[in-house]
Amino acid sequence: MTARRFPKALRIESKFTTGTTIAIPQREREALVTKDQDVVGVIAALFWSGKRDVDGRWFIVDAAESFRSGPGDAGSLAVQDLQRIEKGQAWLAAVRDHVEQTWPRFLRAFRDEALVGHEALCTELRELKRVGRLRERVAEDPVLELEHRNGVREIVDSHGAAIAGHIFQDLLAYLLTLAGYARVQINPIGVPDIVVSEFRGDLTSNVVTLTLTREHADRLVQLCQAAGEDDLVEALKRDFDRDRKS
Amino acid sequence: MSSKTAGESKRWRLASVTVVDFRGVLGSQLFEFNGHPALIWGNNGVGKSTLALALEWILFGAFPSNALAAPKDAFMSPVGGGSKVCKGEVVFVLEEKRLIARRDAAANTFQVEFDDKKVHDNQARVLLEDQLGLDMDTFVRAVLLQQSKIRGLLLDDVKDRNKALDRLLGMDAAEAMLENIKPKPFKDAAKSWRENIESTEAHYQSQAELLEKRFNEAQQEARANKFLGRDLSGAGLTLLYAGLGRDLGKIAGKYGADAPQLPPADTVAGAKKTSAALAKALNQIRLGAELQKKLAPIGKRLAALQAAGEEWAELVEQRDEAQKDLDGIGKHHGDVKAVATRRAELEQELTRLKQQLRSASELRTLLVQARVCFEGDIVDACPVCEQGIAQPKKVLRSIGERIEGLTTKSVREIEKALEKARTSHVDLCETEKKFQTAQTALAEAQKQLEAGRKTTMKLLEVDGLIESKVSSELTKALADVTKQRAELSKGVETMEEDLEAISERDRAVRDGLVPFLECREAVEGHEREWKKAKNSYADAEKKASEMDDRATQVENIKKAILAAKDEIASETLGKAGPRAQKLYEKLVQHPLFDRLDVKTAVKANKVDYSFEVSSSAVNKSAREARLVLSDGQLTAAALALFYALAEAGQHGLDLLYIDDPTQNLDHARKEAMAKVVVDLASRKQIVVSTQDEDFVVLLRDAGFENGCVVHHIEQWDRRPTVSTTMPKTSQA
Repeated sequence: MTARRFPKALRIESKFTTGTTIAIPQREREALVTKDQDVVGVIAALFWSGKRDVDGRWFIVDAAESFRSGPGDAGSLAVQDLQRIEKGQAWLAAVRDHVEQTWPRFLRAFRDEALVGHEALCTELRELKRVGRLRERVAEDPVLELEHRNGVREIVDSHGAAIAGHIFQDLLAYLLTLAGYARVQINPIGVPDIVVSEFRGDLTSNVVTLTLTREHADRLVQLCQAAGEDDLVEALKRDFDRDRKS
Repeated sequence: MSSKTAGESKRWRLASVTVVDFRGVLGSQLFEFNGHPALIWGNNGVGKSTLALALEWILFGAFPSNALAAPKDAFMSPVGGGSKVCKGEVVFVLEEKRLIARRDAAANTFQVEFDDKKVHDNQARVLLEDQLGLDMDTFVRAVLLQQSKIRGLLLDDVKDRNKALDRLLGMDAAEAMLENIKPKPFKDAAKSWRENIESTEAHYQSQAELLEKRFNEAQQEARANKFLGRDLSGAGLTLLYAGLGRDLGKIAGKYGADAPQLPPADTVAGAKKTSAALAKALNQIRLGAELQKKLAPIGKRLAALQAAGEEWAELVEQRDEAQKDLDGIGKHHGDVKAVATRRAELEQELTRLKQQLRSASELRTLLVQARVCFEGDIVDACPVCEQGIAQPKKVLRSIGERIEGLTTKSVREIEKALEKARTSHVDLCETEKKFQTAQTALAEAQKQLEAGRKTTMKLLEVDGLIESKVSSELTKALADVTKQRAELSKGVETMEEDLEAISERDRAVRDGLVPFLECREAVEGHEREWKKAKNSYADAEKKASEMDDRATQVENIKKAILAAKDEIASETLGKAGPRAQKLYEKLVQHPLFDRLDVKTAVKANKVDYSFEVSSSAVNKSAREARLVLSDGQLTAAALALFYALAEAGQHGLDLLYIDDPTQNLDHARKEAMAKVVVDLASRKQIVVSTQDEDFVVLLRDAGFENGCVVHHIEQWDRRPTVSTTMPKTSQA
């Protein structure tokens, strides 16, 4: 297994769509470009398109490695593109895992504020972040896929896609602070949408890095399968496949 | 005729065949050939075919799989009975060399002798194949020419004709492989794996939709019961019951009951137990509360006071009734003392009257006695005073009057008075008795009243309570206790309200939240199972892909075999073609279709054969042979191809064993066949077996018997009777 680390900072363009393709205009893509090797410009896309396997989960890809550099690139990405690109970008695994594991619980924690409105949510998130009690709000008990989809649906139905997009964007920004980014900056009008920085993940991250031979890794998967540890099998397979491809 | 040509002298020829106890041969029978062509002729059933079969069996130990209908032993054993110990020996010659093959069914041995060396079984088989250069399939295709082999060419069905040509060309093994190599099972397996995935996915999808509907309805119901946010989870349930437990503890403390411990509601099933425990705890608080403890004795005292009040009132009433009865008697009969005085007086009166009555009676008696005296003796003087009586009669009369007066008046009056006095006395006694009874009842009632008073004093815990105060004291005490009880009851009502509030909250959780959480658990289980299924799809998809790969590989193998079969068959037909054409011309002699053309064509994963004839003088005249040739011509055409293919065979035997070649042929075709046989015999050892005497004559006419061995099987009596004529050169 390769080491899974969080970048020092993330510059994020957040996209929410009820379709199956997102468009990233040139201006937004340029805003993600950075010369700092430890800073990654990412596109975070959330879909609500009626496809059970896709809806309600964030796709996070490195913008620098997702577009052809030629002029013919229209700057749009379909779900399948994002799925494919994700598999090839192992360096964002830690970010993706954090988002995947925390996002449903985070959305549930702030569902009520989100339903009240964007402003109410922003105020609550800001205040909790300021007093350092954001994590307290996020309960540990798991959220069902159905509950999570219902949560996304309620927000979209309640506010419409445009406002819901802003809500999800803010939630993502503050969700990333739980990974260890001390500073969060949201640009409602400018680009990029979100910048999270001052990573202090060593204080908050619970990610463990293992180094195994392929043989040991396969044995570990088999043993976990035999023990019925399906979540663990899924997580291991995901990482192993990612490593294999990378 | 010459038996050998220079080019063919390097191949083995048949020298002899010895058959022992095999089918038509009982005992031992030797057929000698010495490398010469031979004619074996005789009627049907004399043992000609036995020789061909024996040759095949001795060399290869078997027959083609379709040749045996009966079990092998029954097929091979002598028709004439006797020993079933089949044996045989075949001798081949090549210049000075001899190759001898021996087979013994009883000993189950096979031996080949060559170059002063004897080898057995597998080594023998290898040596024989090495020397002869053929296996059984090649032998029956290229050496042992039986018309049955070409029958398939005459059939209508393309498959049968293709199969027959496959056999003639030695392509039947390749065809069998093609038939057995099928990509479909692999494709079906791949399809099945994918269908499994699809059907599993559809199953989970439909279940998910049902569960989602139920989940949303249950969630709506839970929200209607004011359960929101974190309540709608297992942790929420645990917290709710923990809160209920805490509040229950507070209530228990408030009412002085023991604080019950509820089991944690960490699952939905656990919540049901917690709910049951909570209901039990509520009852415990209800029963164990201080209020209840106080209320019970107060209730008891209240009941006792009420009972005492009622009893006191009853006793007073009884006493008053008794007094009233006594007063009533008094009122009616006067004072009890007066009654007693009156009775005493009456008793004195009765005594006096009785005395009077007695005196009167005694006087009367005296008077009666006196009258008796006066009536009997005149008495002159008084017997008492002895004074003289002046007028005794007057005295007598006076006595009589006096008696009369006593009897009728005085005594009667006394008796009447006495009777009256007696009646009054009885009445007075009765009245006196009533008085006594009433007085006794009053005394008893008073006694009970007194006892009641004492009991009440004890109940009220007071001393010196006079009778008239008992009732009021009781009323007062009752009022106090009633008031106390009312106060306690109010407290109990408050407690019940508190308990009911807890119960109501439990009911809301049980009826509003738990059904939702049960549904949530079902959804959670379903999502978990679905995820598990999705993980297994990767394996299924992998297997499906593997099956696709196998199918492709099998298809490629099949294509390769097909191409090889087409190539080999085309090459074989190409090599045999000119010779087949010549033989066709000689045997069929068709006035129009003078060309025979047999070709291959690869079609839809198989090799088809075209067996066509055409006219060399006419363009595009090719026709399917079976459509334009008669059966006899078709047979002859098929034999032409058959012989040509046999001649083209590359092996170490310089031998063609032609069994019964004239079936279905007319005289002209037989004549042509005889010439062909003679022509063939000019280049290799031909052994012809026939029952057709015309054909024997035609062969003789064609010169076949010159230089050939003739075995004439004249008759059969459990073994053939053979008359053999050896060629002159051989005889010499």
